[in-house]
Amino acid sequence: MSGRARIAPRISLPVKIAALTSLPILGVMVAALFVVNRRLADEVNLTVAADLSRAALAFENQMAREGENLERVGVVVARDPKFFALLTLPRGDRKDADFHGTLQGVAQDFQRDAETPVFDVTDEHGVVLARAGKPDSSSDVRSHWPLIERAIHGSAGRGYLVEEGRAYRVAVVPIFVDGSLVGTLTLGRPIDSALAERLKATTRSEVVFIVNGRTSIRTALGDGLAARLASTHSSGATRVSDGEERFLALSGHLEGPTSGGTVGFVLLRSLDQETAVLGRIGRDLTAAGAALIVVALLVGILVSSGITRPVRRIVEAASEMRDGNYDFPLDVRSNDEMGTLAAHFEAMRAAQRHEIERLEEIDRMKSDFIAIASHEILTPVTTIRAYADIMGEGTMGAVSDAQREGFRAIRGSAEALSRIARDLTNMSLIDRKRLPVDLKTADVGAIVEEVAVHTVALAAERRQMVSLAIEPELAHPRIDAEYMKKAITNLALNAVRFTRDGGSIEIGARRTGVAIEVYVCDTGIGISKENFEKIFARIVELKDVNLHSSGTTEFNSSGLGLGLSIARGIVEAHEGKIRVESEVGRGSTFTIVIPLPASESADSGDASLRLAS
Amino acid sequence: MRIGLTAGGLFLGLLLGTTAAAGTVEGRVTLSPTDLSFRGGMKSNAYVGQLSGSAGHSGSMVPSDTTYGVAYLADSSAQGSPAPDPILLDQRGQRFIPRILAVVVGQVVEFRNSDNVFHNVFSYSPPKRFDLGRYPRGKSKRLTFQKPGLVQVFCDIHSDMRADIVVVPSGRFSYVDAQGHFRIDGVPSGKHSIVVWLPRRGERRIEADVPGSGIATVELSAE
Repeated sequence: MSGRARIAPRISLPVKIAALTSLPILGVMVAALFVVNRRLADEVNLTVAADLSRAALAFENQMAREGENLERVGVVVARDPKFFALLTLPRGDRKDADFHGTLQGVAQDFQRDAETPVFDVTDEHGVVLARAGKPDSSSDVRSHWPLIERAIHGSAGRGYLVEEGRAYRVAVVPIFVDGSLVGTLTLGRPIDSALAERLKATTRSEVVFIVNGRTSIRTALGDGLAARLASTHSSGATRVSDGEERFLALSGHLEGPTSGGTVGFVLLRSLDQETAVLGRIGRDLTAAGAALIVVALLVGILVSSGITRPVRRIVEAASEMRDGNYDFPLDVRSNDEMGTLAAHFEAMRAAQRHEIERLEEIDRMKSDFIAIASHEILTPVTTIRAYADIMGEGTMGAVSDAQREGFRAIRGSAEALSRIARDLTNMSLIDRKRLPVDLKTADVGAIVEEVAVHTVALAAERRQMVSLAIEPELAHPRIDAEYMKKAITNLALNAVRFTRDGGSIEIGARRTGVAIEVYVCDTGIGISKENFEKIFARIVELKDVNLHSSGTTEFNSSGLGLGLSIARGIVEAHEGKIRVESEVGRGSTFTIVIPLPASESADSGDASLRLAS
Repeated sequence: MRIGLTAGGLFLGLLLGTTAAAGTVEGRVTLSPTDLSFRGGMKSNAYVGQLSGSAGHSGSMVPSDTTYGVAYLADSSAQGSPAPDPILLDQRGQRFIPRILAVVVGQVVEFRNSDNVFHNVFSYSPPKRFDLGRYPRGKSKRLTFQKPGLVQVFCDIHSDMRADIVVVPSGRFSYVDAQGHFRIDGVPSGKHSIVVWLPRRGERRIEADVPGSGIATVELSAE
């Protein structure tokens, strides 16, 4: 019974069920979140690209409006008599010293009012007459400019002008007086950061102008990113990144002819800002999913533990049943398969219990029978022994030597028979846990010594060495001296029996902490480990039965085999136990452990200290 | 340019009676449609009647303003003659009237506004740069023109208004009519340079040998 380990499941059923039901949901959710995130990201890309296209349209519209405004201003200026009157002067008069000064002054006045940094006036051949604005090209003939050429042919035009690395939005208008062309007027406003900021407000995008391959004109934007934009010439939307932020960039060309250089633009929109909201939604979804999984797991465990509770009750009941408790309440009232299982289990347990009780009854009857029978045997055996003694002494008439020998044999057998009967009686008392131990303080050392003396006599026939080792000042436990003596004797007898002729036996007593240990150590045949429990059983294998040798001390002889059972019964009646240490072929040690009462064990420390000194 | 000369009549010179020995130069200029159309650039104004307050004239061409150029003697051989009376350059119906005005050096021009709106008069031309500013109906301002040459006159409010004042050295001048004819009387006998000015073509010179009495005829063809 002592070696039994409790059998417990490695994974509890509720956890298993909850995990099995939750994990696929978890997997599906993770996959769904992944897919949703991917879709959202794609959607954002598409949306941003579409937005950027619209922004480009808005950008182009605004640039066109800027051009239209310039053209309108130009038309108004060109139609102002104070302006065009200068250009109607006959060619001869233009050589007048004052002419150019006047024209320059007038041009500056108009430029101020028109608020156009670029203000170029040419004659009808494209020769520059006045230049009030900043661009100061060395050439005085501009007829090669596409827009001037166009104006000379009578049409206003809008385009771009790059001079000294600076870009201008320009409009060129022809100047007509009385239906004849007298010159051209070029008005321009710079493409600068202020314009970029205005365009940013319209397009909700970062704006970069690329003038002659340089990106100096732009809204607030990192230098690294701007440099990268200058080198990428792909049209359409592309992804760019400055390491921190991701952008979608759309590059385009400005509509209209450009003189003096190249002007392009790039619109940028931060993908991260656009996706921030979606990212937040994604994170919220993930958090909600995680919370949901936890909740699902908890609910799953609760539900499955509810469902599996009957199973666990049955498992517990079975475990209790193994320990002999048939009354563990199942407490299962469900009417499903679990209920049926519980009902079947209950029925099975009842049947088992009935069977066990029946067997116990039989066992008790057997013990009772043995007890009564053995007791009944003792009376006639005593009579037989008494007459054998009397007759053997010749009290009832003279006996021959041969007869005396016969009486002695009768007497010996009668003694053996009464010993067997007493053993059986004791055994049945032990079985019924009714061994009448009479506990009194006793000197264990004296008992052990007495047994040893008796053993020496028996061992002498087998030429076995018996040594005795009793610690001095052993505590006196409360024991039934007679029974304890019997138990120790049984161990000593066994030692003699299972030790070869010439072997040695040590009998001793010592104190260990809270107990007194009495041991019998031999150099006998030993016991294999798997038989440690079996040797205490009352079951006698028939092949070993040698009734003739029962109670004898011959080597390897064996009787009913009750010796160890009775020894253990006696020790257990003292709430002690018997320990076995043995090795096959080398010998065995049987130790009786007699627990000391609490008061006795208190001064045990002092005792052992004394021993040590 | 081909210039032909013909002897002219004598009595016409006597009629003027300014100089004892004076002749007349008669000329004909072949006017191209361009030369005739310099007024055509102007658009008719539907509100002229209200603007000018002279309904009788309506917006149509003023009958008297039918000159297409000025011909004059380049030299000032007739100097000494007193400056003539002031001459009027009116602003009416959003036009300068006359469109072409010949002024003798030293003569005073009175610029009058006869419209119900403000007008301005200015010029950038080297012979006379001026800006009379803006003034309302009924007001007039005077200027004396001392240097010969062409003075283009504009109104800075109305970009279509335009007048050309030709400051000539002497009273020996004539307007060119729609047929291209002009006639300068009282020209002393001898060789003279005659300047013909047309708005689209500018100045051309013709040499004329004017007899003591009679008519010298000059002709200026279109290119």
